[in-house]
Amino acid sequence: MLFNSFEYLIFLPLVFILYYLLPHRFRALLLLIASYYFYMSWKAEYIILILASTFIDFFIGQRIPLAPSKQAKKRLLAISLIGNLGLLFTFKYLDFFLQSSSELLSLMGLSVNFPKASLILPVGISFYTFQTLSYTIDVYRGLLTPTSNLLRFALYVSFFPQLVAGPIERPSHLLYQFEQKALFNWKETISGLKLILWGLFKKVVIADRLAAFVDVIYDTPDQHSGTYLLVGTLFFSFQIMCDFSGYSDIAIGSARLLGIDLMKNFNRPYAARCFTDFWRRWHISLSTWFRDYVYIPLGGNRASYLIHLRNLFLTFLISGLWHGANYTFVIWGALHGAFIVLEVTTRTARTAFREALEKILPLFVWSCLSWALVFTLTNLTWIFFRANTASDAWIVLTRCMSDVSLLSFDPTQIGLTWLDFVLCCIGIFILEVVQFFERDRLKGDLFATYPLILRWSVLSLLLFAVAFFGVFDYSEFIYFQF
Amino acid sequence: MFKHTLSAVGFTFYVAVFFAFGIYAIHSIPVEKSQTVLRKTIPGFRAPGRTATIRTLREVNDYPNVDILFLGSSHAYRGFDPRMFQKHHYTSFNLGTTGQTPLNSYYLLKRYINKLNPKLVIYELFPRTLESSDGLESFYDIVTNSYADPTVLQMAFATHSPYAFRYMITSYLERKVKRKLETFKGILQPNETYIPGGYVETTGQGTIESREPKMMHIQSRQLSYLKDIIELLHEHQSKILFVVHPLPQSTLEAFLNYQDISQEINRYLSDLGVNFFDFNLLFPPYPDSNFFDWHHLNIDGVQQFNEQLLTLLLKKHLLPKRRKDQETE
Repeated sequence: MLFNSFEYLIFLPLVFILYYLLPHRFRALLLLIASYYFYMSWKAEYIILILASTFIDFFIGQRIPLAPSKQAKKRLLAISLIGNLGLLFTFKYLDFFLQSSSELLSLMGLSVNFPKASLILPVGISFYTFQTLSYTIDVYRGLLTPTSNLLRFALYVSFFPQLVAGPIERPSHLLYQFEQKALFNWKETISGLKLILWGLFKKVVIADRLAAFVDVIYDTPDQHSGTYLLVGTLFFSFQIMCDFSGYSDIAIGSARLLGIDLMKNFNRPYAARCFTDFWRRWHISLSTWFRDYVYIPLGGNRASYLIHLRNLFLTFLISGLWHGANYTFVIWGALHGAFIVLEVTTRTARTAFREALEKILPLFVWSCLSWALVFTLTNLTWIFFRANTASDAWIVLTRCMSDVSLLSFDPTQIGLTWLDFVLCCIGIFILEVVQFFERDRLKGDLFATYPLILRWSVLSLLLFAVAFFGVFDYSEFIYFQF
Repeated sequence: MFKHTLSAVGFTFYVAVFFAFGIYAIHSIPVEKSQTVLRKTIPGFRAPGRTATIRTLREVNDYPNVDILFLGSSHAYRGFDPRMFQKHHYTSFNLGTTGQTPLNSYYLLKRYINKLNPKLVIYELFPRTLESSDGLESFYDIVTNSYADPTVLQMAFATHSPYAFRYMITSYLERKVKRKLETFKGILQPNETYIPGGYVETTGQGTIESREPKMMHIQSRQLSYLKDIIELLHEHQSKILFVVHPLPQSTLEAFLNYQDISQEINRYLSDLGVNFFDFNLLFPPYPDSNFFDWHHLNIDGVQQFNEQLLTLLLKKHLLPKRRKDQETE
């Protein structure tokens, strides 16, 4: 069941109405049944994996505080890690690992062909695995008292708005909310509906319309000039942002209807002026997860200088691998790691350069230069993220830098229309304008401070755009493949 | 509570006015080749009269109380010749339309069953039509070639697609502003002749293009609409049987799991107590000279198929008592 489908249009209101009609003591059960139904509408049998994760981590979470020694606690944590990461590895990385091993062995002169497992990737496994791991790790660290309520824990693992593509929630933020009695609140309901509408606009009006260009160009990059590849890359940067942040907005809005607060996952990432800032704005729930459960355990910045740099690079490398079992994602992660390392190592020099520049040029010049550099390099990394293979990515990269003539761009040459192109540009413009005017709103109650008529006009415009310009070929959200 | 209700009502009214102005605006803005923005937002929009459906739906009211009604996709309107059934004194009407899936058939039946009042429905069930989960292609064809009524709206909801509503609005606006539906004649190819009663006769033998091998995946939604059709006809005391007309050998070979799918459909329909005759599994294959493309029969193929079908139905006593005979009695 996709968020932009007819089925969800029926499912969500039904759950909403039942939720507030039922007494509080039955609400967690309702949400759990709804969440399992939501997940099973994809592939019913894969609910077994969620149940396995749930039971393993619930019982381990209960046992850890009772363990007689630190070693015993570690062993229990290891069971949780091996169990969850083992499932993730089997379904997501096994074929990649076997293929890479085969290639490595053939380089060493040994010809071995491992059979392919060809397992279908369970939707959301990368997300709910990380979410359950944060529970057992926090219990192990003594940061969290384990819950004795299996029902609420199961709901924490499988809560439908964020089950398949995040935000990846922490138990300290989400778990206790299921114990609180949610009272129907008009303001929160309207706020949730506005966020869902905004997310839907980003997904069906912008992202899926941009996808038409991006797919044509990136599926056969060797057949397009640098002009089209450059436009395709720029469009992809907005496609993935709108697709993923749109999903997150619908997830957060849906949860808000039920009185549940989910964390903000995107905060105008393309406004970043350095890569450190970019990762404070992009997929925030994932970046903070990697910070707390990979970067800090590796030593973070409390180790020596070189180890600190190593920790930064490794964290992003692993983050790249998390996104998919393909070398292109590893390269993407490595590039981000390299840029972050470069930022850290050149911090002093950049500060000095900025101070010197501020003496002769206005401050905004440095801001613009920083922004332009980060945006350009981010787009460079997106080439690897989107390309089907590393060699395709190389074709895109080299042609983008050599064979560009924007005046020669003609969407009809790739089977699309000027109207599609103009609508894409208008969509991106609306996106940036709205994000700019909403930039200071932390909670995301969109348009709340606008005068009534302006508020209604903006909402009507969004509704109209979704109804008449939305692309409803039910394309999946990009992050479902992770 | 009152304040919020008032606000909701006010907002709904504001949105309705906004939409009205918005639709007017995008319907007025021309883009390329005199097409409007509104029209361009719908992939595959077609003006009325591009298929035989416009003629078929115009004629329906001229055929009350038929003995046999034919339903299905282009396989139906190109595959069943009412004249051949007329030779056996059966009155019939062919309500086949482009890409018609069971979803579309159900709502078409709801619309016309009281008028047509058939004793028997023969449904041409090309398995590929069961692959579509939304029946949008056929919905577009029906909406663009007929007037609005509640069954069209029900069909739009049944497609579960916002495109259906967008198409309806565009289609009706275009007819309101540009050309009325009556002015469209219906375009046919030079080798096609429209035969009154809903049949399109096609002469000549075309090229049977080889198809990429593929697996078929039928949608359970469409199967459940078959059940709804059977129940609707049962309420009207009409019988139904399903057939699949012959396909070129090369086409059959390209559908890698054709036999499995056909057997699955057969099992489903048997459980519902209706007959299913897949001519591709019951009879030897037809020669390529009986087809004008990779899946449609030409005039020679239709003749052979209809004769074979009539013989089969007569042998199995599946043909109904003629209305003419009943009236005489």
